Formats: sequence, structure tokens, C-alpha cells
Amino acid sequence: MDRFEKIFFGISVVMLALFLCALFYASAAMHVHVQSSQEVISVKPGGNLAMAVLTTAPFNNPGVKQIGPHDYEVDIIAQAWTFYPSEIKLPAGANVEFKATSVDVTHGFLIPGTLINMMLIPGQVSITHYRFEHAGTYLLLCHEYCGRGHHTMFAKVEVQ
Amino acid sequence: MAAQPKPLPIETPNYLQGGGLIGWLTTVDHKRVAVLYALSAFVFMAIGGIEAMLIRIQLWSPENHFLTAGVYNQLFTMHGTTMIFLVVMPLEIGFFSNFVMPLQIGARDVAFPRLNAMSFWLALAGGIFLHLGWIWGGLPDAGWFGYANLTERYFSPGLNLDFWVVGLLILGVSTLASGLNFFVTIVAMRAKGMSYMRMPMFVWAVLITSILILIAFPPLTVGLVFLLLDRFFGTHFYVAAYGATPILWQHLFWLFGHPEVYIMALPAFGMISEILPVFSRKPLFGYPMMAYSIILIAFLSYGVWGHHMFATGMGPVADSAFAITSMLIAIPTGIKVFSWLATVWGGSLRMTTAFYFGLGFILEFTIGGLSGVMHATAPVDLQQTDSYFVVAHFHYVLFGGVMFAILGAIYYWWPKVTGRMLSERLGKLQFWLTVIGFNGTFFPMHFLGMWGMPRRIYTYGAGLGWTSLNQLETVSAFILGLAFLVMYYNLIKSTLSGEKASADPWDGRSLEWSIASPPPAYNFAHVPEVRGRDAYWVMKYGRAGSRGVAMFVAGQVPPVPESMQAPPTEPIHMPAPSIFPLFIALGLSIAGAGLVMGLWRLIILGGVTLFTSAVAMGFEYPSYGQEPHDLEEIAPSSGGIDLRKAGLWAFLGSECVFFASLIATYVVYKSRNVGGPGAGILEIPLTSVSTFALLMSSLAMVLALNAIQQNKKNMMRLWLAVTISLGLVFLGVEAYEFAHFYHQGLAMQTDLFGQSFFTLVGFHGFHVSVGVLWLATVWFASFSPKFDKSRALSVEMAGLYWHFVDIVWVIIFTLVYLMQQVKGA
Repeated sequence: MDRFEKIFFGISVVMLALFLCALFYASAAMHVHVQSSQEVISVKPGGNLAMAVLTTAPFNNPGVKQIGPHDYEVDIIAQAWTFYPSEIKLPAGANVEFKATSVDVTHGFLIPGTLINMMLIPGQVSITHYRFEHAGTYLLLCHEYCGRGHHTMFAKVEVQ
Repeated sequence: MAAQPKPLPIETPNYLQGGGLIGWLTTVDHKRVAVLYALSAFVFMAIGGIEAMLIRIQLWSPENHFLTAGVYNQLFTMHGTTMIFLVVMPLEIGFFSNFVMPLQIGARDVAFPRLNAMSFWLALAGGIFLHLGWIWGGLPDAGWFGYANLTERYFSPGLNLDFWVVGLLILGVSTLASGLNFFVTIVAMRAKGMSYMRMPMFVWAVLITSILILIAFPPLTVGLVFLLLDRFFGTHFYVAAYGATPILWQHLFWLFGHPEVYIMALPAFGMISEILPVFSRKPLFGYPMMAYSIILIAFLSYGVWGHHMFATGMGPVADSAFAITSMLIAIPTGIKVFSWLATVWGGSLRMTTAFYFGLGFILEFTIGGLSGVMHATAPVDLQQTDSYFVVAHFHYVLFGGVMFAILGAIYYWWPKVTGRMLSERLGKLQFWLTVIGFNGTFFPMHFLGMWGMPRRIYTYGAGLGWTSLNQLETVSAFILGLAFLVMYYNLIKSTLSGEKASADPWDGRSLEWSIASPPPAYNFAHVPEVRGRDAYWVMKYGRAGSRGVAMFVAGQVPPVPESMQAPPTEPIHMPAPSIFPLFIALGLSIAGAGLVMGLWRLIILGGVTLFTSAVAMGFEYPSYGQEPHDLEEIAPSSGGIDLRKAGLWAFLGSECVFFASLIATYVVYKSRNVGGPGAGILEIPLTSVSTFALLMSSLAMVLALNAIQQNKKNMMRLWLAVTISLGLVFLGVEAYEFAHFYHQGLAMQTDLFGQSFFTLVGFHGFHVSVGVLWLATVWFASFSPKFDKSRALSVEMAGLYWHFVDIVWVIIFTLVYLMQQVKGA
């Protein structure tokens, strides 16, 4: 093997090792998980999806719920072109579970600066977990194009 | 039109001369078709560019109302659709592949010249269809990706998406036909001595791209057909309220969409692999690895579609699998980048505009490739999905990569196409404007994306801190626009008054430079014999071998070998012009317009035009490539493969993917079905009878072929009649079955089972009907006295198709009917 090839090979191995370590660290220590969705909204064929969502727990009562000393659940309904509720207040440092679904078309669910980035598929409940470490006002955006008012679809997350 | 192919006069003008308007409308010359493609693509490129400029003006300042939100959405949808389907693919596949590939393999035309012309007219029709919204109902506005279920009639009631669906279906047919055509051309029509491992890298790229097209377009077609059924016939393929899921669209679309990225990228890789060696005067570094890496990229590209869908919640296992396959693609791509660098390394460089763009390509494409690896990492992608970071990434790949390659290729091959040189001074001006404008426009998008700016937003708030970078992008976009104005000026100026180009202005290394610029209609007066890689360098310098030749003779351009430019000594058969490709495109467009407008009469008129043109084209005999001596002359290396048979096999391969997509949908939706009669409605005894009839028909088909091969014409007619009758029995039972189900309350609109069952079985029934029509045509044709043993191939072709349809039915019968019963028991 050429000397340059050996050097190049060595650098590649080191980089690969570094990337793998970063990945494991992110997964184990920083609790980075990709979202998975098993829950669905069941509708009787030809029924009304919006009605089904609004009568299915937890979306019959959307909003912030405290479910433990440091645990919160936030249930959010996305509809063209708003999130409901459109203002969410959460304490800093709490474990938050976001559950969201759409009543009409496919929407997005993005909080810039965090790891929260989901697609909201009609008929499917999207779930993600996050802990806001810093207080401040976060923007919750729809980032999946959903029609004429797409750019007006956002909500505010107040972390105190 | 059905005239005998006329031998061309010995003193042939170049391919651009003569014929007049009718000559261009009826042309089947691959070079003329290529020029037509280029003209339409340059027009659409201007339209798509102006759309991009308007988008950038709208994003100049926060809360801007230069455009309305509705218009903005139409513009970004059309910008994407136009640039991908009407600019990049027509330029790469329609223009460069069409023009250059047959020249590089030493062929006189493509395998199916009339099909080639049809591809162009369909592409033009599809392009016009997409733009009908200018005058009627607004342009499509659901994004180029058209995510369900926004595209449903309920959410998008206008005509605009109808135009989009039908336009894309027409473009799909056009692209599939091109893919099939080029595949057969390369497999069966290479000049003597042009083995696979001697083919120019661009030809390799076109070959693999063609295979990608054949396998990738069927899922898109299926997805679009479902959407069409949803919009026009009230089915619910993407409607969550019926238990269906809009994710089905995403799977089908990206199963097409990611290979599509490589359908655009591979020809660009090929072009770069042509340009760099010539201007470095060195052979391409690592030729075998370059070829294998193209194959590997194509293979892997089918396993990566999920990386567009990390945010949909597929779960950690699927996400990890797609992440790994996506990262694997970086390996063959890395091989290519390093091989390009090694090609240039130590070469004796000539800094032409084409070479500038080649070098620019390596840099910009690598940036796009690196951000691609970031997207492949699922957790990283979760911060980037649908943000401006993605916009930055794919513009670095598609503009920094593909467009740079196309621009380089324009400067490289323009002298061959038009016989005139482009201005190098203007070219370099264009290059620097492009580099500055491009990086200024797209590099800041990386930052905007990380700061949270989503894609496809009409406007943004003032307090978000996104304004200054957006303004930088807008200014840069105008610099980029200026670069294209320079190019258009250069192209027009060159065409009108450019310096005349010699046959070989660059000291080229592939066969297209061995013939006059512009080439004569028949390309090669004498089909060359290839004695090595870099075929034309070998011819000129007389030395072959893997180390190449040019580095020894840097600076001297030897004279063009006389033999290549001598006039032909004997008449050359060229394909006769035909008006039917144009009529076929016209028919399909009329039918499409009728569908959109809901006018049955137009649909029937279009269908009749289509059908009669197709049949007329079939009987336009004798035509190119169908006479034995034509084949010998044109396809010396075909190795006994008949062009038509190779084409049919390629088509059947594509059909497999089509049915696989339908079957997969059926399997998924059957298990999600709730209520309704369900699969319990199926009657196995009845269908077993029709299945038996269909299987027996295959036997009869074999006997018919056997009979004609022994020249027993009457026996053949008898067995053909038996085949047709058994096919009709099958269709009759199917029709009865459908009617019966309908009366029992199962229609396409009823539930998930109904729609996927009727679509799958119905499409198969449609294929059987086409088979019956085909066999009937052969049966009628067999009454001609000329029909004897020598025409056995036409029976064999129909038979191949028939057997394929039977095999598909065996799968459907097992899966839909028998396995249902097993589960119930």
C-alpha cells in the first residue's frame, strides 16, 4: 500500500470511530431518540376524521397536563392552519411528552433549536419527548407544506 | 409515410439541413430529436428560472406581499417540477444522451427511432399540460412532491392538480420510453469492438440511468394512478377517514424519488467523466471502479427512500436501516470524486470553460454530498427535515452537481451539435457569475435552516433574524440569473455568427469527434471498429493500452484520420420519417384533456387517435432495423439479440415493478380494511375455472409459436384462435365477477379492500385485454401472403407478453384468492 493510502486509511478509521462514539453518546447520554408512532386514530369508514380526533383521548382535552412531579404531557391538535392550543406554558427542566395529530392534511411539528421535528400524519398520533433546559420563548412551526396559509401556522411555547 | 427507406445520396448534407417544418415534425433522427428536446428545455429553463427569481424577490424582506400566498405556492411547486422534469431530465436524457450516446458507441441511430420521437412529443405535451394552469384554473400548488392528502379533491378542489397528475403521467410514459430505447441501444447496437469495458463512461451512465428509469418510474405511475382515481373516481387511497394512510404516497413517491435523484446525477457523473480526461489529456482514472461505482450507486439507490421519511415515525429499526444504506452510497460516490481528482492530477490541463465547469462540479457537488451524509444520519436529520438546510443540500447536488455538469457539457458538445464554437470569453464570465451567484444563493440556506427557517413558507416574521441572509440570497440569485442571461446570449450569438467548429476541436477521445461537426444524418459513413478504450485517441495516436496515449503527445493535435470522414461508398439505410409519433402524443394529450375537463367525447377521440396511430405505426413496414440486413449493418455487436425482443424484455421488467407496487398496496390495505364485505366475497371455484383457462391459453400460445416456426400457418392460426378464446373466457369471467361484486355492494369506492382489489385485478385484466388485441392483430396479419416462418418473431413477441401476463395472474390468484382462504380457515 502506498504511504498516502495508509495515512488516508488511518484517518478514515479514526473518523469512523469518532462518529460511532458520538452516535452512542447522543443515544445513551443525551437521550436522542427518533420518534416512532404506533398509536392511530380509528375512524369508521367514511366517518369524519376531525370528529374522531376530538372524541379520542387525549385529544378530547388538548393542552398541557402534569402527569408527575417533573413530567408533563402536551396534547396538540394540528389543523389547517393553526395548532391548538396555540400557547403552551411549560417549566424548564421538566420531562415533556408531546402527542400531536392532524385533523385534516399532513402537517409538520418543528421547534427550532430543539430536537423536536415530526411529521403529523392524518390518522396517526406522533409522539416525541424533550426536556427544555433553558427558559425562553420557543416557536412551534408547521414545516410540512399544508396549503395557502402554511406560513401562518405556528404556536408559541413559553418555558419558564 | 410508409415509404420504403430511401438510400441517402452520397453527398449528404448535415443533419440540420433540409426537410423544412414537416421534416422536423416527422423526424426520427436521434440528433434532430435531441435538438428539439434542447429547444424545449431551454424555454422551460427560462420559465423555471424566472419562477425562482420571483420566489427570491418575495423572500427579500419579512412580511413581504410582493406575491400572494397562493401565487407563491404555485411558483415553488412549478419551479421544482419544471426544473426536474422539464429541464434537467430533458437536457440530460433527451438532449445529451440522445445526441451523444449513439455517436459514442458508433451507431447510426437509437434502437427505436420512432419511439424516440414519440418520447419527445410526449415530453413536450406533458410540459405544456403542466403549464395549462396559466390560462385556466391556476398552476399546480401542492409542491413538486405533492404530499398526500393535501392533493385530495376535498383539500385541493381546483383543476391545477388535475393538470399536474395527468401531466406527470404523460411525462412518465415519455421517460419510460426513452429509458427502454437507450437501454436496448446500448445493449445491442455498439460498434464492433466496443465491449462494455471500452464504452465511454457517459455511455455507462446512460445505460445504468436507463435501467433506473425502467425500475423507478412504475412506483410513481402507481402513486399517480391512485391519486387520479381518488380525484376523479371517488376512491380513498390516501384518505385517513377510510383507514387508508397518506404515507402510502410518500413510500411510492420516494421509491421513485430517490432513484430519480440518481437518474439526474448519473448522467452528470458521465458528462464530467468525459470532460475532465479530454482537457487533462489523460485517460479517466480508475475506469473499472468508475463503472462499478455507477452500478453500485444505482443498486443502493433503491434501498434508501426512507431517509426522506425519518420524521414520519417509522421507528428506530427502519430509521437505522435506511440511515445505513444511505451512508453506504457515499462510498461509491467518494470513489468517483477521488477518481476525478486523480484524473486531473498531473495532467496537461487546458483551461476551457467546459473544464472550469468540470472543476466547479467536483467542488460544489462534494459540498452537497457531505451535507447528504448529514441527512442520512437519522438523529441529525431530525433537526433538518423540511428546513432550509435541505434546500441548501439538494441545490448543491442538483445545481452545484448536475447543473454544473450540464453547463460544462453544453460548452463541450455544442460545437458538435451546431458546428459552431461558443465564446470562451463569455463562457468564463458565465462561469464566475455562476459560482458567485450559486454559492451566495445557496450557502446561507444552511445557516437559515439551522436557525429554524422551514421550507416552502410564503413569508416570515421580522423578529426572527432571517432577513439579512435572505437578502444576500436574493442578490446572489440575481447574479445567478445574470449568468444564465450571458449563456443565452452566448448560445444565440454562436448560432448566428459563431466561429465554425472543426470536427475535433478539443482533441477528443471518443467517437463523436471522429465525424464532421455537425454530423451527417447517418452519423458514420463507415461504422468504425473500436480497438480500445478512448477509441478515438487510439485511432489518432495509434497506441492503445490502459496508460492512455495523450500524455505523450501533449500539445499536438494530429489530423483526423481520413477514413472516418470519407463519403460513404454504398447506400445507407436510414429510418423513414413518421408522423405517427406526433399523433400518438396528440392522442394521449387529447384524452388527458378530456379527463381533466370531464368530457367523455374528448377521451374517446384521444383514445381512438392514440390507438389508430399506434396500429398504423406498427404496420408502417418495412422500417428501420426490421430487415435482416439492416440489423447486420446497424448492430454489428448485437450478439444475436433482436432489438424488439430486448425492448420487450426491458418493458416486462418495468411491468414487474408496476405490478409489485400494486400488489404491495393490496397487501397493506387488505390488512387495514375495516367493515365491508372484505375478501370473503371472493369465489375461488369460479375463479379457479378462469385461472385454468388462462393457464391453458399459455400452452396454446406455445403450440402456436411452434407451428409457425415449422411454417404451419393454419395450425398457428388455429392455436392463436384457441389462445384468444381462452383469454376471452378469462375476461368474461372477470367481468361477471366484477358485476357480481358490485351488486353485492363492493365497489371501488366502498372501502380499502374494494379499491385495492379492483385496481390490482382490473389492471391485470387490462393487460389481458391488450394481449388479446395484440394476438388478434397477429392473427389478422397472418392472412398476408408474406407472413411465414420468417415472421415467427412477431408471434414470439406477442407470446412473451402473454406468458408474462399469465405469470402475473398466478401470483395474483395465489395472493388475493388462495391465501385469503388459508387465513380464513
